[in-house]
Amino acid sequence: MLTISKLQASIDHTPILKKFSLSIKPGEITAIMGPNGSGKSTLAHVLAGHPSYEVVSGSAQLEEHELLELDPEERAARGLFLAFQYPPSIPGVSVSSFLRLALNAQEKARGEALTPLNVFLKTLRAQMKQLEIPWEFSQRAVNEGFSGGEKKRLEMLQMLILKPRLVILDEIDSGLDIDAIKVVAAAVQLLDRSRTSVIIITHYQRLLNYIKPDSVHVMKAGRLVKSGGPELALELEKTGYGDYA
Amino acid sequence: MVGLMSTPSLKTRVKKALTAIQPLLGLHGGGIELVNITTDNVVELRFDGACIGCAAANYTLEHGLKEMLMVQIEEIEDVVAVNDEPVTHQAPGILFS
Repeated sequence: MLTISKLQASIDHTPILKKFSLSIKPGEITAIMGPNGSGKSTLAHVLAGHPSYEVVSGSAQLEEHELLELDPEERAARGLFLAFQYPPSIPGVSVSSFLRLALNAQEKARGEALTPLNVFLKTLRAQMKQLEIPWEFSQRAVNEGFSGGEKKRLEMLQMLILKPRLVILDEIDSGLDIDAIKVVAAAVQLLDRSRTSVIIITHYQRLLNYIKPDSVHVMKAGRLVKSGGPELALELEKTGYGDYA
Repeated sequence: MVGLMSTPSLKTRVKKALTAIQPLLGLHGGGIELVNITTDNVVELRFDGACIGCAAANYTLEHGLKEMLMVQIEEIEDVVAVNDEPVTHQAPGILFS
């Protein structure tokens, strides 16, 4: 599904990722943990194609596509979804219009038939019901005046509507209350695990109480230094990152 | 008393929604009326006034009216216009070189 091989990336000529390698199987939920400055968020940004980062060498293969050769929107159309930590507001554009335009744009890029409005609205209503989001939410302007929890609800709705192959949740739990974390966890449970893998980037174990990962990796200074199962996250919660700092 | 609490008919709700949309079309001297709702819940509308023969009428339907109605009224499967008049003019406010 995703194979990252010897990825080296830098920002302002400072190397951040150093021969980073990781493989994720279809449907796998993997957590990447580590102290501040270990390169966790850089990994997310580099995979998404953030222009501030320079990829020096290595590869990141999502199914048959080499992500690093694609523009950010092409990566999204091929199935990469990065949930924003601070999503921008778009005054005048309703949530439902935004989601439909995003879906149709990706379908167009893949050369697929566009989902018609009635089918889209049925899916949207069903997904919102599952996430316990009132329908009125779909008619509000994107993120305008949204609380932190509402912004995350929209990110999750986007994730479910776009049906990505690889989801990256980068510190999505920062600043969230338990209710909002539960919404994120519920949305991840609703993903089609036969086709979607998830990378959870987090500093704390808390989110992993709600989303059980199949594998946990610890990052330090741009590399993976330890890998294990869910028990590794619990161990880190007890010992802290002292050994890895 | 039960009758007072029940949901108004689809036709009533469509008409009410159209009444709310009318002023938007009225800004361009146009209008819209409900012609029919088919058994499979396709709403058939007719553009009136300056919308008749307007090059932007179909765009207004596809990128505005349709979504406005369908997000409000869940049962609607599609919204179509029955007008078959030829295009005679552009929408007001559009400049051509």
